[in-house]
Amino acid sequence: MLGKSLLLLGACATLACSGLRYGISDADLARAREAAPRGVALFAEQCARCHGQHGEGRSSAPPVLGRDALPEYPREQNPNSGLTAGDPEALRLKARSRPAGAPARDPFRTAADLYGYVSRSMPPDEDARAAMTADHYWALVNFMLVSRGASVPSGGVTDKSAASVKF
Amino acid sequence: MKTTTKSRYHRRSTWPLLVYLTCSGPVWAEDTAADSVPGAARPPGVGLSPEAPPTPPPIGGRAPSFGAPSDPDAFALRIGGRVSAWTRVGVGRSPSDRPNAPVAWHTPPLVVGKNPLYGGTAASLNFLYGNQLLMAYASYEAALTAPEWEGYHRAELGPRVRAAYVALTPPPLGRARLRFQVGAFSLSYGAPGPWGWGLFGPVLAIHGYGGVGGLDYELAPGTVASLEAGTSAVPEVPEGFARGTYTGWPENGLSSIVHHAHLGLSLKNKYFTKLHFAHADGRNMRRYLDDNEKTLEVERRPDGYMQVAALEFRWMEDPFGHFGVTPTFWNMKNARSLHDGIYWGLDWTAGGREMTDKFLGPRPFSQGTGQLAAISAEYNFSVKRLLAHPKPFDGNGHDLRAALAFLPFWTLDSDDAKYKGASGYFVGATFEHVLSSWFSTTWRVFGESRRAVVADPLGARQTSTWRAFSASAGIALHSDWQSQDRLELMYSRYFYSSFTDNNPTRPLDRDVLTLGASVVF
Repeated sequence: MLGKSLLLLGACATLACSGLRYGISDADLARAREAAPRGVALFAEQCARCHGQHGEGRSSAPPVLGRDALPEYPREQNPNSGLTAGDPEALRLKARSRPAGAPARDPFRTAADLYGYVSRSMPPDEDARAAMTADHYWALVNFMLVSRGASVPSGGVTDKSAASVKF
Repeated sequence: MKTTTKSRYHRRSTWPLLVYLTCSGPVWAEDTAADSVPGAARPPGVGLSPEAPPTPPPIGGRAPSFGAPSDPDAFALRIGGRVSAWTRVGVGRSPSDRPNAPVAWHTPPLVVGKNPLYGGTAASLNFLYGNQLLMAYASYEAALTAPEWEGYHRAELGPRVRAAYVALTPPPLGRARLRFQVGAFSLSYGAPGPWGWGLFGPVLAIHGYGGVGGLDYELAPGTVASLEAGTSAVPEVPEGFARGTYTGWPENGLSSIVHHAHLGLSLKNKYFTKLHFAHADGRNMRRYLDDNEKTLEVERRPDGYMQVAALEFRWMEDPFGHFGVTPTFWNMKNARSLHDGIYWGLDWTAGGREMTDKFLGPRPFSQGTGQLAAISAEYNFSVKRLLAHPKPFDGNGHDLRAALAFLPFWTLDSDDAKYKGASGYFVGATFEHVLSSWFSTTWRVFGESRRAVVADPLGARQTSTWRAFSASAGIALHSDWQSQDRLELMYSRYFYSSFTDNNPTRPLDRDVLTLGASVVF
């Protein structure tokens, strides 16, 4: 009995201690300065305000830098918070903003998926998005990939190679 | 065990486990960033970001501008709302005793069963003021409601504050994310559809004055354990408060207080399991409304309660769609004494009275003591997303969007013997064929079948099957492929069992035209 309890406690401790790596590390930041310097600067300008200085995530914005950031499927949104909470018609209409049954964003499986989402939806403000170019977004995507420790092709990921760069 | 490099960006606590549970995990960024470290304080570029709102809009949604760039922790105001316009007309049929009478058009139509298109003319204005830490929210709504609104008359729902609360969302504490909310608001749980909803809504919705707190704890990337608990109260409306023209609103003199708790686990952000429990106590403080009109004897109903337990399973597998199923169990004792603290249960019921009337038996045969079980299931998918796979489809193109729902229920026990063992089901399917960025065709089928009991002219109670189905076809106009504004015209054909349409002198309508429009901003 004691053995089982200790085993269970150990399993819980193991689970609890498995550190989640959110936020860019020193080593990856050094790599990013070499591999994606423009992305580093753009992140500071456009993204850090909401996602945190190191992309570690804040109250209302998820982690976007680090080895464990950017999961394949997005975290579920709480239907009881926000402007549509408790309004059946607003919730029904909100669901129309995505294909039926689809997650809140497309799954991140390749660099092309990440580019597709970021270039369509970030920053949230339409005017800010309008000021961004495709080159800006590719620079950001390269930086985000490097922050995960991913190896990117020399010269960076482009629209031609993005679909083959797996997460 | 994964390893983490100790650095000025990453650190692992060596404190005891409990401290570690709340404080470890995600790395903490240092406040002062230097030089080109991401996030270093730099003036924003000219013409770039008017500061984004603290909470991003839904994907595809719109966010208003907020002037010049500012600190992300600064308070910002966000305004949203909805305008819905809606009307429905039924084409009457000649009554049997006047076969040559001209056919009348009815508005609202003489129909029963689920309304296939939302019915309600309303405008709401929502204010959200706050930053990432603190948010104040208020929603003001004016609604013109009539019996066609989900079948219920809510004349008292005139202009009103629908919700007003303050929410506190502290920065993540290690792996833990906390949220607290206090005020007057509604909460919904257990919906099998995506976005916290579904064709038949949530199996549990709570509203009132109170508070709720929630904790999300990330066990691994995408694996989140969640805990939420709260209390809400709906106070008594005095018996003498007639709310203008007295509408027969029977909850006067009753109150309810709801305690609820929820435990959840999500795996890979794809598989969701949640256990919901709510207990509502109802207190009957009436002095007059429960009097027997014939004898003037006071027959006060005892206090009562309603307990709801639901186990929610949902699975999202792209590109196949979203599937959810929620078995739910209700245990009620004298539930007629409950106000509507639990205001949505099965089939949009509001409070103990409607749950009793629909599923346990009418007054005076049932006082709301019994047990009910149901399984709500729904599947949502996009045909284009299926066909386009592995290429993602974001909704901007031709598509056939589908939702299929089935909800059987059983009255396990009731103080009205006629209802004991009764069962029934709801079924629904909706399709939208998006043909262009501004035009869609819509198709909807809804059905409802249940055992029902009525008294014949001699007072004998007859049991039969109550059944109402509808098939609808419509066209919808919208401003973009996935815009949230739309205008829709729909024709519905209703089908009833003979027991449902059983009054030949006042036959139910079978042909109904609906015109509706909604804008969310």
